[in-house]
Amino acid sequence: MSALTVAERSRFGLLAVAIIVGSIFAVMVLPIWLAAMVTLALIVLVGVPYWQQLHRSRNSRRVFVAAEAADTGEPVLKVENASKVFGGLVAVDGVDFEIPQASIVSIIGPNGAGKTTFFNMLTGLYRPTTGRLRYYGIDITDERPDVITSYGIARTFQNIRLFATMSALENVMVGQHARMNASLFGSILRTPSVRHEEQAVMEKAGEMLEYVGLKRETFGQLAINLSYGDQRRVEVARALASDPKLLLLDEPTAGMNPQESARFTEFVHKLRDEMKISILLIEHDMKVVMGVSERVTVLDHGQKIAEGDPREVRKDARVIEAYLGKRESQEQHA
Amino acid sequence: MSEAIRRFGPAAIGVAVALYIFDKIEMDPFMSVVIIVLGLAAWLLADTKYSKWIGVAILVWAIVLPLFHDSGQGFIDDANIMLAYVVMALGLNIVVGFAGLLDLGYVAFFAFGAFCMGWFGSSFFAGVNDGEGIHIFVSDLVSQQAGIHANFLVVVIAAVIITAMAGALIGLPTLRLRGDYIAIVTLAFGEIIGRVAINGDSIGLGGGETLTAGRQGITPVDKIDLPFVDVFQSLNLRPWYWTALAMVLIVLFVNFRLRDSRLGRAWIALREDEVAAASMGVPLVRTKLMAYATGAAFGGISGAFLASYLNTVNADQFQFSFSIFVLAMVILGGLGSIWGVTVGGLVLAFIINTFIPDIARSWPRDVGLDFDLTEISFAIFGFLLVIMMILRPEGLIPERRRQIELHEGIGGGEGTDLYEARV
Repeated sequence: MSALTVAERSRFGLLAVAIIVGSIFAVMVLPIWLAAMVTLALIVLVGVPYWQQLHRSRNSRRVFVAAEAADTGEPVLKVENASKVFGGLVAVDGVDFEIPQASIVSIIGPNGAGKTTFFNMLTGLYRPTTGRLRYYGIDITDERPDVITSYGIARTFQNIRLFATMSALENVMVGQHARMNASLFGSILRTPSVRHEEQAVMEKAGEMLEYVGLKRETFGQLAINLSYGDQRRVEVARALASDPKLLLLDEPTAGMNPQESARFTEFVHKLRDEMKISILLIEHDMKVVMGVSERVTVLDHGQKIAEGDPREVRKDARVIEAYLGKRESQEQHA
Repeated sequence: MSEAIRRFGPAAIGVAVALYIFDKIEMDPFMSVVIIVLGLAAWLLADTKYSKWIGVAILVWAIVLPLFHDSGQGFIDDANIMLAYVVMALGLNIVVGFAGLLDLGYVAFFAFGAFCMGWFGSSFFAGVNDGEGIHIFVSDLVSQQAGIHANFLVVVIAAVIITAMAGALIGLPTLRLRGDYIAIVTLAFGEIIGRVAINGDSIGLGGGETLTAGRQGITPVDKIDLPFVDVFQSLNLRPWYWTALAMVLIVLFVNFRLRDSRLGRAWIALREDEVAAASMGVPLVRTKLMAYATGAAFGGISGAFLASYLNTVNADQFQFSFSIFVLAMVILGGLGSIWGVTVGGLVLAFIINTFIPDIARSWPRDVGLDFDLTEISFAIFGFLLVIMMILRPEGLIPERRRQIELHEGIGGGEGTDLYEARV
C-alpha cells in the first residue's frame, strides 16, 4: 500500500506540532489535570477528523491509482505463478493468467479443478500460498477482501449469497459500502453530507437494479422472497454497485434455461460495452462459454492445461482428455 | 362471541393484571388509566399513521409521571433502575441484535462505567494531590473533599471513552471467531473484569491507593451535578428520573439512527453472511469493533449513572448473572427490535426489581409454603425465558428480519444447513 503523500505528511507534522505546542502551553498556565484534559481534547477534536479524512482519501486513492494505471495499458489482472495448498491438497498449482482490459475471459474445467478456489484467491478470501496478483500492475496479493473490492474488483457467488433478510434495494446499497464515507458520528447526527450520500446511494441502487432488469415493484422485497432469476440479478447489481473495473461471475447461468442463458450472454456483452469493465466468468455451459468469451482458460487438477480462443481450446487434446478421460482407458472399458 | 373472547380476552386479562400491579406499586389512579389507554392504543394502532402520536403521548406521559408520585422512594426509585437497565439493554442490542455478535460479558462495561464514577467522582483516591484532592467543575459541596471529583458529565465522557476502548479490546480476540466461540471469549472477559473488581483491593497503585475497594465498595459516590441545576439529592428522586429518561431517549435515538445507516446495514450484512459482506467491501474488523465499542459505551454511561444513583460501586454487583440478565432483556424483547428491547428491558427489570421482591414475595407463604419468592427469583426468571422461547421465540415485539430468520430457517451463515440435516 502506498505511503502518505508529501503534502499529507507535512500537514500531519504541522498538526502534531500544533498539538504539542498547545499542550505545553496548557501545562504552563493550567494545573496538570486540566492540561491533560486540554491535550486529550486537542487530540480528539483535531486529530480524529483528520485521521478520518486521511482514511477517506486513502479509499478514494485506491480508485485513483487504479485509474491512472489503467492508462498505461497494463492488464486488469495479472496472476503470476499462483498456487494454493490446503494441507496436502494442491488446489491451484502454479497458474499464470491474465485478463486484458475490457475483455471477457472464461475459466472452465471439470468439477474439482480448482476454479472456485482460484476465484477466492483473486478476491482475497484465500491468500495464495505462492505467487503474486497484480491489478493494473499494483500488487494486491496480501490485501483484505474489502480492500480488493475498494480497488475495483467485485464478484458474485456460485451458490447465491445475498443478505437474505434485507430488501433487494438494501442489498445493493451494501454493495456501495466501500464507496461511502459516512462515519459513526456522522450517521448518528445525520449531517447534511451523510443525508445526501444516503440519498445518492439509494438512487444508484435503484438504477443498478433497473439496469439488471429487476421490476421496480420488487425493489422493496426481501431477497429471500425473490425468484431465483431475480436473486441472480440482484447479486450482479450488488457487485456492479461498487463501481468495479473487473467483475468476477461464478457460474452465473447455473439453473437457467437456454433462453435465459442466451439473454445472459447478451447482457454480459452489454455490460462490457456500456460499463467498460472486464469480466471473468466461471462457466459450465459450453454454449455460453463459446458465445460470450474472447478467451478461455482451462484448469484441471489446479493446473492450467490450455488457454486461447474458445474454438481452438475445444479441439485441444488435453482438454478433451480432461473432460472425457484418456483414449486408452476408453478402449479398455469398451 | 368466541371470536370476541379470543380477541379481547388477553387484553382484558392484561388490563386486570396491570390494575392489580399498579395498585400494589401505588401508581397514581389517573396515571394507571392513562397507561392502560396508551398501552391499548399502542397495541391497536401500531404501524398505522397514528403510531407517531402514540409515541408522543407516551413520551409526555413518561415526562410528567414523577410529578404524580412521592419524590422520595417507592415507584420512582424502581423506575430509575428500570430506565438505567433499558439503557444497557439497548446498548447490548447493538452488539447482539444488530451485528449478531453474542456477548455474554456485558457486565464488564457496567463495571467500567461504574468504576469511572467511583474513581473520578468520589473520595476513593484520598491521597491524591497530597490529600487536597482534584476537583473538576464540581459544586462547593464536594470541592473541599479529598480524592478525585469530576463533574458527572466529565465522568460520563470518560466512561464512554474507557468503555468503548474496553469494548474494542474485548472485540480483538473474537475477530477470528464465529458464533458460540465469541460468546465464550466474551464470557471469560466478563468474568475476568468481575474477579479483578473483587480482588482489586489488593492491587496497589502506589501511595497507598488500591484499584478497587473490593466487596466493601466505594461509597459514598458523588451525586449527579449538572450545569444550571442544583446538585441532585438522595431524597428527591425526580431529577434522577428525568436524567435516566434523557439517557434512554439518547440511546433510542442513536439506535434508530445507526440502524438505518451505512454502518447499520453493514452490521446486518455481517450477521447474515460474513464472507459475502467482506466481498462487498465491508471491512470486518472495523465494523465489528465499531459494534462492540458503541454497545459498550452505553453500558458505561448506564454504569456511571447507577454508581452515582446507588451511591456505591461494589464488586458484588458485577456478576455473570447480570450479563445474562441484560441479554435476557434483549432476547425477551426481540433481538434487534429497538422498541422490543425497550419493552423487554422495562418488563424484566420490573419483574426482578419490583414484582418479585415487593409484590409477589409473600405469595408462597400465603398458600402455606415455607419459602420466599425472592429465593427462587432466578428460577422464575429462567421459567419465563423457557415459556417465552416456546411461545414466542422472536420476542415480544419482533424485528421483521429476525422473524423471517426464525420461521424460514435462514441466517446464521454456513452452519444452518448442517443443523437442519441433523434435525
